[in-house]
Amino acid sequence: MRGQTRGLTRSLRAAWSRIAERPARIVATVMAITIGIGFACATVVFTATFQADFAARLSVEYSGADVVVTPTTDEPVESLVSRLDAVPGVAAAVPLYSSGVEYTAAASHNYLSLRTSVSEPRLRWTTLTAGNWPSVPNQIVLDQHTATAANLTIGETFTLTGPSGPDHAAPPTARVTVVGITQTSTSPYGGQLTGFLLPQEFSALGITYAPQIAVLAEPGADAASLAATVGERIGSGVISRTVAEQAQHDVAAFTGQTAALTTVLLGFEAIALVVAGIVIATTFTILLAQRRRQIALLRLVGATTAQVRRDVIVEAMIIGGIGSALGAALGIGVGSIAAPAAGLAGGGTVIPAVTVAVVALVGVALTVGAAWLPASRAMGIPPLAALRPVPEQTHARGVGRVRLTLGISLLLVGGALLAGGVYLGDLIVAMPGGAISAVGVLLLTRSFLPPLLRLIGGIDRAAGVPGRLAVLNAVRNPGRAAATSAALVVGVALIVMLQVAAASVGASIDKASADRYPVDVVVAGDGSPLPAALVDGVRDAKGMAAAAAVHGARATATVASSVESSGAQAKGVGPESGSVDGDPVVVVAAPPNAHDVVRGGLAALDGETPSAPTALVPPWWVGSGAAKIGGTITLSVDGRAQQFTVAVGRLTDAGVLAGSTVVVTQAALDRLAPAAPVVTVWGELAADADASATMAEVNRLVADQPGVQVTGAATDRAALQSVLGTVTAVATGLLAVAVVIAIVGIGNTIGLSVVERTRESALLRALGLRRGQLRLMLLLEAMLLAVVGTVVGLLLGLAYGWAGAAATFNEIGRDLVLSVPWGIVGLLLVIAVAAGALAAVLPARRAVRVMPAQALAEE
Amino acid sequence: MNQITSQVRHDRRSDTHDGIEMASAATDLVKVYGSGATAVRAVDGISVGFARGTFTAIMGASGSGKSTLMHCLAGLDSPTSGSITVGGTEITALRDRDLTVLRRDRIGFVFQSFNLLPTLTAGQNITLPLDLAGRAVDDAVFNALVASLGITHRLRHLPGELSGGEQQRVAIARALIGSPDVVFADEPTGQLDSATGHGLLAYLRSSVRELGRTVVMVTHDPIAAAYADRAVLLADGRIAGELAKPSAADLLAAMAQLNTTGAAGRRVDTVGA
Ligand SMILES: Nc1ncnc2c1ncn2[C@@H]1O[C@H](COP(=O)(O)OP(=O)(O)OP(=O)(O)O)[C@@H](O)[C@H]1O
Ligand SMILES: [Mg+2]
Repeated sequence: MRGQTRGLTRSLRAAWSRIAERPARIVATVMAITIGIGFACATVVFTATFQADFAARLSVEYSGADVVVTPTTDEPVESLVSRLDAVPGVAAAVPLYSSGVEYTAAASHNYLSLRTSVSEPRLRWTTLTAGNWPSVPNQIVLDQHTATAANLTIGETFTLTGPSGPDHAAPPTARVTVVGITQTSTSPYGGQLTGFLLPQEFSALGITYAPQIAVLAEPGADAASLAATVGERIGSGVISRTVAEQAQHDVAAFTGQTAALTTVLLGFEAIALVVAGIVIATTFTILLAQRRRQIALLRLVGATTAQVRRDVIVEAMIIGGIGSALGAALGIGVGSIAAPAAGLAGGGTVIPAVTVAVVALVGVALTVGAAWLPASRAMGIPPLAALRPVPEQTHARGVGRVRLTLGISLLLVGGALLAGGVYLGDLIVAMPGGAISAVGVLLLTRSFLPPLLRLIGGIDRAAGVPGRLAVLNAVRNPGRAAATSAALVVGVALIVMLQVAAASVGASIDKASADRYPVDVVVAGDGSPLPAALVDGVRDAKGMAAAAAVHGARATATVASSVESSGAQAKGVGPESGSVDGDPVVVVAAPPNAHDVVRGGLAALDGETPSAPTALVPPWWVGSGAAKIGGTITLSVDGRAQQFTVAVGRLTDAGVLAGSTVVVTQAALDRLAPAAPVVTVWGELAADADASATMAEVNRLVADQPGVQVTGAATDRAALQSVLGTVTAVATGLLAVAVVIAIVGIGNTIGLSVVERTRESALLRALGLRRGQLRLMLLLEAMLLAVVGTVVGLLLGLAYGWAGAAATFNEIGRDLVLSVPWGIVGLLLVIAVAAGALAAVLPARRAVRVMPAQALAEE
Repeated sequence: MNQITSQVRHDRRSDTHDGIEMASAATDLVKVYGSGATAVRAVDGISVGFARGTFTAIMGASGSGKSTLMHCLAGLDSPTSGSITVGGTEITALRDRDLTVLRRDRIGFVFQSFNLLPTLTAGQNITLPLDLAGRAVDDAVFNALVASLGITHRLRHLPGELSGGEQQRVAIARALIGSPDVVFADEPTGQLDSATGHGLLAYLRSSVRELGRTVVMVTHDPIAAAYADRAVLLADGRIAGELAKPSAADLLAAMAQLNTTGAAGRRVDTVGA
C-alpha cells in the first residue's frame, strides 16, 4: 500500500517535471482538449439556458395567474368566462386569446396575431414603452417590432378583418386606433406581428375561442384546491391546472423539439471529440517515440512495464485535467455569452454544474483513453533500445497486413451496401454502408497516403532539394502522416459532404419547382389593372432577367353543351360540381416575349388561326369534367363573346395564377377585350440571382397593393435557399470546430517533428542548406500534409455527399441534380493549406535560429 | 582531373603564410560559452594555420576545446572574437547566407556520429552538397570515390541499414565529393574497430598525398594521429604544443607530459624526435 502510494507520487512528480520541462510539447494537446471540451460545455450551457428560456416563454402569459383553464369544447369563451366567474374563490377569469387576423393599413397589409390586453396588473407580461393600454374596445397596442414592420405609429387607425364564418358571409371587420407601443422581449411567438386588444373586441371580430383562460384566485384561496374546484364545477368541457402544472405540461409538449436540438448538437460534439481524440493519440505516439531511449533506459535500470505505463497515464491525466478545466471555463464563458446574444436567455443563464463536471471528466477520460494505445505500444520497447545508436524504423508488417485486409474488406462491403442503398433508394441500407466504408478508408489511409503524398509532392520538385526533402520527411513515417491527416480528413469530409448534399438537394428542388411552375415570378391580383409603376418595378428588380406585362380582362366562361360530361349540364357554383358555366374567370394574353419568361406550355397557342383560336384552361377544369380537351368554350367580356378550342397548359397550373385563369393569344384578347389593362406580371430570375433578395424586393413592391400576390417557382426557391442556407451554415460552423482541432493537430505534429529532427536540420545547415531553404522545407512538409488531408477529405465528402443525396432522392422518388459548391470547396482547400503553412511557421522559426554547432550537440 | 580543379582554386584564393598557402587559418580566436560566473573560455586565444595539402591532427584532453575550435574553423559556430579564413576568405564577417554557401562549396565535414540524413540513401547523402549547390555530379569522380571507400554496393541503402563503419565511409565520401578547400573530421574513427579505423585513416592520408586535399582531424587516439603530417596539442582552450611528423609513441609521451604539467604548463617541444 505504502509502496504503491510512493510509486504514484514518483509517477506524478516524474510526469509533472516532464510537462514543466517542455510545456510547448503539450500545448497542442491541451488546446485540442480545450476546444473539444469547451465546445461540449458551451453546448450544455447553451441548451440549458435555451430550455429555461423556452419554459419562460411558454408560460409567460399566464405566469401571473393562479389557475389555467384550457377549454376542450367549442363552447363560446364568453359563456365559459361567466361560468368561471360564478365559481367560488375565483376573483377573475381572463380569456387569453391568440388569433391571427388580416389587417389593412395605409402603408401595409398582412397578418396580425391578436392577444388579450389584460387589465389585471398581475397578468401583464409586457411593458408599455409609449402611450397607454386600451381602455375602450376600438383601441389597440402594438409591440415595438410590429409597429416598425407595419409602419404604424400611435394615433393611426387601420382595419382588422376577422375570420370569415362558415356560411361564406362577409367577414366582420373593425377599425382600431393605435394607442400604445409595448416591448415583448419574451414573446413565445418570436417574429409574428402582434397586437393587443381588450377581450370584448375579439367577439366583435367573430373570435369566440381562446386557447387558455387565466383564473385569478380570491385573496387567501389556495391555487391547487381552486384548480380542483374549477374542474368539478365546470365539468368535462375544460382542463383545469395550477400555473406550475400548466407550465410543466406545456414544456413537456415541446421536449421533442428541444431533445432533437440536443441530439443534433451531441452529434457534432461527438465528431469534435473524435477528432480531438485522434490528435491526442497522435501527440502521445510522437512524444513516446521521442522518449523511446529514455523509456528504454528506465527499463534498463529496473522499471517494470506497469510503472512505465503508469507514468504515461498519469501524464495523460494531468494534461487531460488541464485541458478539460480550461475547456469547461471556456465553454461556460462562451455559452453564457452566446445564449443572451441569440436572445435566448429569457429564463436567465443556466449553468448545469453536474453536467459540465461530467463533460470535463469525459475530457480526462478521452485523453487517458487516447494515450492508452500509444502507452501500451511503448511497453514493447525493449531495454536494449537504449543502447542502439539510431532508433530503427519500425515496420510492423504483420499489423500492416491485417490493417490492409480489414480496410479493404470494410471498404468493399460498405461500398457495396452504399451503392445498393443508392440504387434502391433506401437510406437504411445506404447509411451503415457509408459508415462502414468510411472506417475502411480511414484504416487504409496509412497505405494510400504515402503514394499520394509523393504524387502531390511531385509539384514540390520545382522547389529543388528542399522540396525533395520535404516529401521524404512527409512520407518517412506513414503512420504519423496518416494519423495527422486523418483528423483533417474527417473534418473536411463532413463539411464537404454537408455542402454537397445541401447543394444537391437545393438544386434538385429548384429543378422540381421549375418543372412545376413554368414561370419564376408571378405578380397577380384579382384581375384588376396593375399600376404601371409596379410593372416597371418588377422588371427592374435586382436579379430579374426578364419580365413581361400580361394583359387581361374579367370574363365569363360557358362550356358548350356538346361536351359529353356527366356534370357539365348541371348548373353549379364551382368546379367541385363539374361545371364552370357562368363562373367569373380572368382571360389573359400570352405576351409577345412570353418565351423569355415561360418555360414551355405555350405550344398549343402557337399554331392557332384567328378563326379557330385556342384557350388554355386550368387542368382541374378537365379533371373535374367541366371541360374537355379539344372541346369548345365560350368566353365573353362585356357582351363580346368568342368561341375557343380547349387546351390545357402547364401555364395555368396551380400556383401560377390565382383563381381560374384562361390563357389566350394577344390577338384573341384584342378581339375580345380591346385595350385590356395589365393584370399580371411574369418574371424570369437570372441564373445567378439571389432568389430570397429578389423576392423580398418584389414583395416590398406589392406591400401597398391590397390583394396582389407574388407566387411562382422563385418563391419556393427563396424559401428553400434561406432554410437550407441557414441549416448548412450552422452545421458547417459546428463542424468547423473539428477542423480547427485537426489543424492544431497538424501544427503539433510538425512542431514535434521539428524538435525531433533538430540534429538533422543542423546537419543540413552544416552541409549548406540555407535558412530560407530550411524554412521552405518545413513549410512544404506542413502544407503537403494539409493538402493531402484536405484533398482526401474533399474526395470522400464529394462521394458521400452525392451518395447521400442520391439515396434520399431515390427513396422519395425524385430526380436528383448533383451539384458541388466549388467555391466553398476551393475556399476550404485554401484555408487548409494556409493553416498548414501557419502551423509550420513557429517550429520553423525555432529551427532556423540556432547555429548548426549548437543544434548538433543536442541529444 | 581533380588535381586540376584544385589547382585552379589554389590560384584563385591564395592565402600565404611564410610563403605557404593556408587552406584554413585562425588568428587570436576566442570562444566563450555563457557569461558571468558560469562563462567557459572553450577556445582562449588560438592562432593556427593549416597549409594546403597537409593532414593535421588536433589532440587534447576531453574538454580542452577541440570540437569548439573545429566548429569555429568550419563556420558552424560564431567565435566570440578573432578572425578565421577559409581558402583566403575571411568568414567571421560573412552573412549567414554567404557562410552557408561557403560551407557547402568549400568545406567538408565528418562528425563523430549522426552524419547522415536518415531519409536519404547512402548515394543521395554523398551527393547532397552538390545537389544543394545545383552542381552536376561527375560520375567518374563519384565512382572512383565510392569504389576506393568500398561502399559501391551499399549506395542504395538507407543509413539505418548500414553499419557504423559504412556510415562513416559514406560521410567521408560526402566530405570529399565536392573537392572542398578543407575537410574537418571530428573523431571520425571514434566508434570503429581498429582495422576499419585504419582503413579510413589510410584513405584520408592518401587523399591528402595523392589528391592534394587538406584534412584537419580531431582525435584522442595517438595511433590515429600518427597518420597525420602534424599534430596540434590543445589544453584548456590554448595551443599547448605541436609535433611534426609525429609517431604514436611521441604523441603518447607528449600527452602524458601535458597531463602532468597541466594547462598552464610550458609548451611541449615543437620538434618531433
Ligand atoms: N554549448 C556549450 N555551452 C557551454 N559550455 C560548452 C558548450 N560546448 C562546450 N562547452 C564547454 O567548452 C569546453 C570545450 O568543449 P569541447 O566540446 O570543445 O571539448 P572537446 O575538446 O571537444 O572535448 P571531447 O574530447 O570530450 O569531445 C568544455 O569545458 C565544455 O564544457
Ligand atoms: Mg569533442
